[in-house]
Amino acid sequence: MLEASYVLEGLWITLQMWGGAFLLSVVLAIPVAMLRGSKNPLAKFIGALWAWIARGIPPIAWLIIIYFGLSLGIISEVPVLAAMVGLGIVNSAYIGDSIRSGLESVSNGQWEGAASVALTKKDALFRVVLPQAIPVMLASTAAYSITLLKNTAIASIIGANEMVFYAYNAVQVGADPITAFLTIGIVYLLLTVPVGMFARWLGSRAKRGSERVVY
Amino acid sequence: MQEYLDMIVSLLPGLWLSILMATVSILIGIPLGFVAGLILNGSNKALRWLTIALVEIFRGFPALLTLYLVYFGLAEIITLDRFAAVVAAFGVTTAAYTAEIFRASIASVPRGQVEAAQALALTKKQITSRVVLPHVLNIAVPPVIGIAIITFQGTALAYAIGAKELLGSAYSIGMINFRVLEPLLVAALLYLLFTSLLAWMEILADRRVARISGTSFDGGAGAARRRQRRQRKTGFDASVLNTPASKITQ
Amino acid sequence: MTTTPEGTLALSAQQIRKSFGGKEILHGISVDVKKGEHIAIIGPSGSGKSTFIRCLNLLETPDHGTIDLHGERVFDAVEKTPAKSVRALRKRVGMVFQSFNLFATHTALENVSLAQRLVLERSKTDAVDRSEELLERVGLKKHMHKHPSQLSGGQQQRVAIARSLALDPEVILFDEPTSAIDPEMRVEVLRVMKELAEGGMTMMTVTHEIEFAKEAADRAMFLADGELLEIGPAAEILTDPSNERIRRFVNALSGVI
Repeated sequence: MLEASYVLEGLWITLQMWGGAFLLSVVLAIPVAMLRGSKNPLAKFIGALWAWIARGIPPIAWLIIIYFGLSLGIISEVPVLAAMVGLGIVNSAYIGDSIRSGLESVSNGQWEGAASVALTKKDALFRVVLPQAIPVMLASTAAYSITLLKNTAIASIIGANEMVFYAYNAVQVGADPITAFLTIGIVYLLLTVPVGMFARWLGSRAKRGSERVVY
Repeated sequence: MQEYLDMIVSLLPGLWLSILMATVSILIGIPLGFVAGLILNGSNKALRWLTIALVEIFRGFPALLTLYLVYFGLAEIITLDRFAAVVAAFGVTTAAYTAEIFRASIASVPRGQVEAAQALALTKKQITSRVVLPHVLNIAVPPVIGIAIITFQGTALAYAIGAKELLGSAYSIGMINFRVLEPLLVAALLYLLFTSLLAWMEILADRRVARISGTSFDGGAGAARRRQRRQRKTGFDASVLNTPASKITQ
Repeated sequence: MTTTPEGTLALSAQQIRKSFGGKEILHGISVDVKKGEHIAIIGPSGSGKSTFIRCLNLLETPDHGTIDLHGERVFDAVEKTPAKSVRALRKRVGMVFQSFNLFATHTALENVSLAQRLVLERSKTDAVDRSEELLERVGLKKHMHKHPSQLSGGQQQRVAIARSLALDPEVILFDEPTSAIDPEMRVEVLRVMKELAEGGMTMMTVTHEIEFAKEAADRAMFLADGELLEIGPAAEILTDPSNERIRRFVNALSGVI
């Protein structure tokens, strides 16, 4: 039998990993987006290389490498931390994309318009472009964060005691697998469906906003 | 150097199994996803709601959970080997992901395309197979390749149920030599290369879509940029005004 | 075959009515088109011009009325028209759309060949030969392997005209064929249409191009609020309209205040 208290305890760990990996990915993504948007070819290359490697290796392989393969002190010893780092790296590539596409969604005319009234580049970015780009970034970031949430399940494989971990262990000692895993699945749906709706709402709002500006 | 080459060779059966798992999952998932896309565009309400529910469930479940559900859950009912469990689990996951792509592609066929075919006296069947289907297949290919990448990388999860796919075999080779890192890194490199190959195909397919229909799945932003560039380059061709009618119409 | 003192009737539509969602858009419009005649359909937006022309090849099914082609009854609203008869009618009545509606995944040549292969069941070589001939006629043979997205609006519309001609229709309907084209590109399309009309094709054209209608159409019919306000020689009606409403409309389009 999968005890409710275990599900709740697992849920708490799931949410911690989700939040931790998300924050880490944003922290990593900002320099990555800046590197990729830079005019310097070397910086551009490094940014692209990071995104390529982060995305090109399956999240489970990242976790196994960090936890079993590397010796990064406490990170390689605590499964929850290893998972946060691994998933944060993978997600940074996607968040970097959403920052870039958010900026690109603002038409060139907005930069030109800002320049025409003699705004500095910094003012143009913070006062004109970002206010339009952020809704677009938020929408895709919210969508990617659903994938991130689901990927936290992988951490159970390296022993992080999140929801799937408890369900798996309960099944190993005789709990009914269908009930146990479906219970966890429903908890995931309770999280992903509202976040998905929120992402779609952000997306439609961002679209309306940009249409108002462009046309 | 020789050591690493040997490692790659000993990982090849694992890579092959990963590719096989991904291919079969995709071959199961795409037709299911296409049918789901048709249903989502259809008029049968009950069927549509059922499909929406299934799609939401398998998109909302972590793939690992679906795999456990199939491998441990179905084992109570029918005997299922690892390979069958993996392709069943990732087949439905792929179907759930592609369903939305096919739904959007089918819905995006412009009404005018169908009307033009009607005006040319084509039958309903001809319109579906000769006008609607090419349109859907054309624009759905790049995002479906994107899903194929997710499916391919997802097969690494089969390691969790003890499959000897790429990740699983890298781990066990490492366990034999008590040196885990190297085989894992070589496996990671192989994943990276294979993912890149698929990503490159996705880019080529997307370019093809942009060339043919002038639109693509990036919400038209890329196409709009390309159109702008084209317009800037060609400008307005005033010469047409001076061309005599006989030249234009021959 | 019905003959009038002036010639054979190619198309006759009688008392065409059409409603959408309980609102009647067309209040019983009739027109007789003689063989080789070109009729321009003029009127303000919302007058039902497009709906009327779409009724003539049954893209919209009229709620009331009849359609005859060369004296043969091809549609009667009191009976259900089987899909086969609808297609038979569309084979004989071509349509050119405002937004071209070329098949995006097919090249220009394939656009022109498709219906020849599927509807006329022509062999591939025959269809290609005929398509090349038609594309040459509209001045686009050298672009025949391009996709619609690679062609300008004016070029796309000329391909669409060739596509329509490929079924050798008895009548071609044009629904605002130049409205979606940049002004400087319209001339090439209008030229092709004028040549077609001069070549004896029976045509009906919904258009806002008053000058073109005066020059290339034999008669003009003016629709307003789903009624036929007037029909007569194009040059006469459009040059010096006796009807106040038509005069205001024509003046507005010509930029006269």
